[in-house]
Amino acid sequence: MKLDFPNVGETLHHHVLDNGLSVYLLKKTGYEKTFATFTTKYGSIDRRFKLEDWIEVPDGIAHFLEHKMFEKEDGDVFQQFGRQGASANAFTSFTRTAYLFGATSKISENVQTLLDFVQTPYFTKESVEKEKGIIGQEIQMYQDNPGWRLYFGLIEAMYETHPVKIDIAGTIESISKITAEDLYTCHQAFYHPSNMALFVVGNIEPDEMLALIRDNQAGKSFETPRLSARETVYEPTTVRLSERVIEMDVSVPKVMIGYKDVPQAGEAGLKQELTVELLMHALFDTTAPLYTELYAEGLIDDAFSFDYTSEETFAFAALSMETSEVDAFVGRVTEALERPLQLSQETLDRKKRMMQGQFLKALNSPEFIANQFSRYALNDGNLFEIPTLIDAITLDELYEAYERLFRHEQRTVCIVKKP
Amino acid sequence: MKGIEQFQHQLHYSVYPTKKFKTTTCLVSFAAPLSAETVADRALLPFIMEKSTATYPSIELFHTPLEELYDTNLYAGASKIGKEHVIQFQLEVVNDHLVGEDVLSQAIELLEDVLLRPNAYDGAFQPLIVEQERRLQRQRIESVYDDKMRFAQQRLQEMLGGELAIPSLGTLEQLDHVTPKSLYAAYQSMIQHDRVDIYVVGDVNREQVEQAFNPLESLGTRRPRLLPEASRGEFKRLEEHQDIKQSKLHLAYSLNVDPRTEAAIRMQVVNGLFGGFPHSKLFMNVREKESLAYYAASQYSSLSRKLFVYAGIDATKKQKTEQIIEEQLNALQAGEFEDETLQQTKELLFHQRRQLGDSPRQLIAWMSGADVRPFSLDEEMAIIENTTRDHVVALAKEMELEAVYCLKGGEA
Repeated sequence: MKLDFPNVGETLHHHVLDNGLSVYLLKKTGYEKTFATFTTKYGSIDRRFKLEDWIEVPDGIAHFLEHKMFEKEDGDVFQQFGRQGASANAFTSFTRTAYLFGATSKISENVQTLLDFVQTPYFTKESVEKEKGIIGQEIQMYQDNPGWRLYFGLIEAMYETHPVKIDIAGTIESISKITAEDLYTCHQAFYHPSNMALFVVGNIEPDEMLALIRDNQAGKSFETPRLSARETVYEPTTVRLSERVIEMDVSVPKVMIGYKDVPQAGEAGLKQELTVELLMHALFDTTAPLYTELYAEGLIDDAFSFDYTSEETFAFAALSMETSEVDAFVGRVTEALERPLQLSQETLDRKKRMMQGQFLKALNSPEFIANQFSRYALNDGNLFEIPTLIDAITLDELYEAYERLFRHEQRTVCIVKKP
Repeated sequence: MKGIEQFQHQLHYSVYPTKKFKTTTCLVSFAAPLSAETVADRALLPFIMEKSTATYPSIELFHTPLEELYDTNLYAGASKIGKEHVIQFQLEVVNDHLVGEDVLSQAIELLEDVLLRPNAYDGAFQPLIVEQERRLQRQRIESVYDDKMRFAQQRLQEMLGGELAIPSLGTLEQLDHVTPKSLYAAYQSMIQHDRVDIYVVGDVNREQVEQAFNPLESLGTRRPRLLPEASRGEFKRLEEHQDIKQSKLHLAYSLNVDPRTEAAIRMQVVNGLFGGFPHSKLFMNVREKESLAYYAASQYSSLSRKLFVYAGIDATKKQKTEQIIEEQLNALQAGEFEDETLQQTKELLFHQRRQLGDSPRQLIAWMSGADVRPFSLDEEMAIIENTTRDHVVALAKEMELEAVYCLKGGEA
């Protein structure tokens, strides 16, 4: 299926193969590089799920599995990509695991390598044991990173039961329990083509690329999907803790204010995400009244940032700042958010133009397109609909979002500071 | 890169007309000799200038038209490049035809406002913004302490002396002497005496660029780029302790290779074999085979004629890691590497060069280094292609360990 998006100047090809794999192809005229991501809807939160029976796996296993996929009987897949002139990478988030490469030559070989290595698990007792040392080091490195500790400290304080509160890499203790059999089980459950999306963008001919991918997939046999359910937990809208202090040797204290939101699935979730993002721009950008006031008082500066995380089963807004006056900063921001919202149509219109511009600029990057499109596609959305969705946001919706989100009982403050 | 047009009036222009991007990107760069006396003022100046102008005298007033123009990015930054200190102003604008409005020319006017009509009166920048930005700069200088990799690299560079030892933001003490007046003096000096270069990538032609940037034609002084001389100091070693979980081991090798020569291009092959890529010796042996480190990599700095190695390790494994790093260099010097690995390194270096053209920022970064690297992209690729095992061995033998710094965690 060929889809034209004239307002962003792109044409997308989408096909669902017989085995259930969703394939997206986008030709970027004039680009040298081709970028491909092969993504499974499987992340750190998928710790309990049902095949024939319910299974619980050790925390951090999705990330561990991602590391181990690169090791094969005949060597390291990184090296194979390297020999084919490609640089490969992978990442694990709360809800997804993505494998990717960028290359300017040997695109067919590299796409085949990507498909083959992700679909061919190979784990041994010895290699699993060795990996525990490497990931243990990675976990320790993150323990020294104040920004990471702050972020996970916040999430952990916000959530009662939802597994988003568990560090993506797990703990040294939890990964020590991982076995090769566990890895095979997770691979079988979540790496079925019907749970995955392949996105290829760049210097390609879509028809030829599709034929190559079809042939590759037709040559492999897959069992019927075994995954029948993922655990859903009850999570209250209110936060677990309203404040959390982590002691670390940092020069300037770091603070994050989190507001827990009610998650939405599918297209409603994507619309909610854009609405809250626009709202946060209106409230916290440098042109906002609150920013101007706090800047004059020396309470806010370039170190300030904000972010909205939205997935099917969890959603939260986070404001982040580094300041020696944490209490004053938190007090002023909270107080402002407890007042009724005042927003003009003029501001809304300007913020829409701004977000449209941001989106168009991001389309320069094939990496952005592939990563974000895959995320949208696995949530039943379409990235190129963003301009239309932004355009449709109304002032009333912003007021609703404000009322729903910025409530005192949904707020957590996390601080990293010296003992 | 084919298609780059270069021309000169008072200012020097490099323009790459292309329709493949959604945006047009412009960079105005001011370069002055690097000195410890001026670095604190010059490092703070861009943060002040990008915040407001005489026409739009507050952050709120200045950022409003930028948002209105489809989130035009206008940001400024400063960096050390070899023996020079460079202040850059970058503009990124959505192409007119995508939004059906004339955005670019309005955005360039805002950039010119920043450069020609700063928010300053009576020879001083606006005190409120200076005060806030100075406080913030203080935090930035202090926060290097929180980023242990950066901290260790800064300490290593201090050991090496010369330009490398000058911290890019200046010291806290130097920052204490920065005032609204001293910043204005730095601004005056910048627009009068710096070498000014303009780079544009996007849906434009030469005439458009000449016309749009004409108001800047009176700025700056044409003077040649300064390059660091070769230097090779006595071997030094330093170990410090902090309460951290992962220790940092940083090494500096000096090598006498002129950055304008073929040898400097070939050094990238050497670096690629040593520690620049996931297939490099450092990654394969220090991290993978011996499980000594979470990361171990190297970086070649052609301008400063150094090669840096850095590793994140367990405190107890410092000596062993150092020994294995040395063994990897010895192996390179003895020519112990596969032909296939050499070819793989070249492929990745080709790939890096080919993909430059896909990112406006990378394109501009490459264009701005072109006067130090006298080769075209195709010529560079040819030099890499014909780099032999003998070249690699000879260059690896040039490398001499000059400094070792270790930031140790665990028990002191």
